[in-house]
Amino acid sequence: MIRARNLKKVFGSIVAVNSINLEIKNGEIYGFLGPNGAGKTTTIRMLTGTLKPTSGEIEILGIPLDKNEIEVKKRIGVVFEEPKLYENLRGTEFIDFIIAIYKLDREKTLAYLSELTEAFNIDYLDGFIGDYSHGMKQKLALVSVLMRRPEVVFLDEPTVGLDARSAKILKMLLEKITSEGRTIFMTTHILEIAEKMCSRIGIINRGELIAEGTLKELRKLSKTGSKSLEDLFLELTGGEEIAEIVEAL
Amino acid sequence: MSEIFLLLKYTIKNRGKGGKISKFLSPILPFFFMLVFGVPVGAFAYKILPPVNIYIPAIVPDGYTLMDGIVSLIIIILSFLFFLGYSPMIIFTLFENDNVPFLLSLPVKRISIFAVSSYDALVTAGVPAWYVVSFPIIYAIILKISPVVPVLSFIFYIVLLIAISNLFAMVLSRYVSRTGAKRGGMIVYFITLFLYLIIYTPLSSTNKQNLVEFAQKLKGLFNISLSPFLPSTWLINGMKGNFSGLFYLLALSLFLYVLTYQLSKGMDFYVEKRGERKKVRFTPFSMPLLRKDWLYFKREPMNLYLVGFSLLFPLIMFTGSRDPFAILIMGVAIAGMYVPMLTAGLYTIERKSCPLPLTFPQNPSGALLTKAILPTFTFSLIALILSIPAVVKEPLTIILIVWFPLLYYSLSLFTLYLLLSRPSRDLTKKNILALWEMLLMEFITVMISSMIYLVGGLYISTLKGSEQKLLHLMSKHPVLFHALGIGLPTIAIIMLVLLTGFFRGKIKRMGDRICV
Repeated sequence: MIRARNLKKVFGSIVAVNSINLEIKNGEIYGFLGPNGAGKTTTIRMLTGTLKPTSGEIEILGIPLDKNEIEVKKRIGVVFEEPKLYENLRGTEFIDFIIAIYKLDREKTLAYLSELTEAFNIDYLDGFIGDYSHGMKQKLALVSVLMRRPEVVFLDEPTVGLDARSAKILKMLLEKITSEGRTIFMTTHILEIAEKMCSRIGIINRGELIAEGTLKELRKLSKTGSKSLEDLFLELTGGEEIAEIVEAL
Repeated sequence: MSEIFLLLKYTIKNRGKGGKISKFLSPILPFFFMLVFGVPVGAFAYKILPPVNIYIPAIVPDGYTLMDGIVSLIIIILSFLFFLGYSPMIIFTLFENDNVPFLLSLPVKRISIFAVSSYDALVTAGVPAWYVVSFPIIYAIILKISPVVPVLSFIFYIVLLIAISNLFAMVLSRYVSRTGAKRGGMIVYFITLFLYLIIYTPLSSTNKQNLVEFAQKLKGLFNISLSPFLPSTWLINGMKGNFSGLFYLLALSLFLYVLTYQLSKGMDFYVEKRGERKKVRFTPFSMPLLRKDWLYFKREPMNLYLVGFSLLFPLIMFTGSRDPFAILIMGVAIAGMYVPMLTAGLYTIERKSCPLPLTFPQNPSGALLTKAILPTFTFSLIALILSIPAVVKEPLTIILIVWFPLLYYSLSLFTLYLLLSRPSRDLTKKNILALWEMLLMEFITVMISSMIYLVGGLYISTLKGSEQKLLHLMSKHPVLFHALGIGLPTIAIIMLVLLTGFFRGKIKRMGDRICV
């Protein structure tokens, strides 16, 4: 599970994330939504130990992140929106590197990887990562995380760059992962995905968590009686004036 | 034409956060290379070519002088290198440039995109052509003719080479990957630089007699290199003021350019992916961080150059030198630049992958400290090879040689410390270190290594009775002599140990800054 208390990140004079509290249970798919620049990626980076918070506490799987960061990193997996990998390595070498650095059981990992690569149509691991397209890199980043069977998976816009088939497989796989009691923390701009897949949704705007709960709970927050997540999201994040803006264009 | 200039202007602007000077210099870089490579070779050619402007029918075909034969060979070799380096570079800068899809969406002609990318590739890969840029003028001076026809012939010869390279790149693009093209182009580029060094340095002392003797060995080759069907022979004819040479070059280059233009219209500007895939093979990684660095090290062509140059340059420069310490100091001076460059290269691959390195279950400072291992090992090995003459001459020198790993380790850590101190850098540059940082590290390296190797080496030699000017004089003052001979190297070694500890401590505390 994921727990964050008064999480705050300040860059110079800009407050990117302001006093966020999160409590996500095992087996949940938590959708983290927000407009561009709202603080989603900054929050993911703090929760995964890749960015130090200015203040606040984080616990992952009951382990305080600041006390035992290495242990947490062993048990979680993170796929960022921009799949920046080692471009000078071949796909196979990157997988070998991941197996070695996480000290994974080689046989078991490669056996599961073989299933994942088949499912995601990955037949290019012999090539250099520098030669891959964005989608190919994204799929490699995904399988390199999923093959480790992490207990908590953080996904930042996981379907960006994926073809329809791979996106569908990923969605089904995520549901399977949570059915095994593992946790998913996911950001997405595709509200339909969040609506269908997430057990709970958090909406962040200008660094503050402005709403949180199941879709049903979020609907209750609507002052205009919005039914769809899209309308609700726009209402909460100040997008109601969209129609007027488009009209003026 | 204005379209090409506009694209070129924004290509340069897009190249990174370089200062005003580097932005101003970018468009004139080819001309700068012309000066850097062309002027010394021109001066060298002007010195050695006039005496061989002689007819020797037994060696060179009728109608040509020995000078023509030698120049034809040089032109053929350099043309070949130009062609080998330029074609893959076009693939890299044109066919797989990330900006090309955007450029294709703009209302600009495809030939303009092609021309700008070709120019961009020419900056790096055109070096072999700059070597001989002065040849038409030298021919005009030696033969006392107007330079117009020779210069025009040379221009059309280069146009011809560019056209052939472009055509070849179109074919090659179907078979190579982006990485393969980049690597191929860079390897040829560095081979060309080596060739320059290897040919230019020992030949600069060549006289006419040596050259004639050398030419006699190449007798058979001149019949091939001066074949009337070769464009290089047309260039020789053109440089001799012969209009037929100019005409053939003009005709063929125009024909190939029209062909290239026509083909470029239908090009999709993408490298075709290879259909056939190799069998996927996984190999266990032991010491994953080091192995990853090693794979980068052996795959980045610039590293091949850094290592090759560091080893060969001191050896070539001091061939026949009686002072083995001069070779050693030269090696250290070069390592003073190249250890930081290699370390920075290894650091850059982590920076470019951020925040991935921070997701691994390990302390980031551990990954950073690993970056110092490969440069230290590589350059210590080179130093060991370069120190063989010194050790053979004086075995006691070995007590100085053993400090090389510490010197390079400390230098590598210093580089990492500087990189972490100012983490926001333009990662698109080949060398992300600033000039002042390079100079600072070079100064410290030369200063410390001089205290250890120059003073220590002279001290040992003097003790063993060799005639050394500086310390021999001091040997008349035994206290000063021993104090300096032992004291300075010892102080330098203590400084190295302290600096190593200081930088290690700093890097351990600054590890998180790798992905700032």
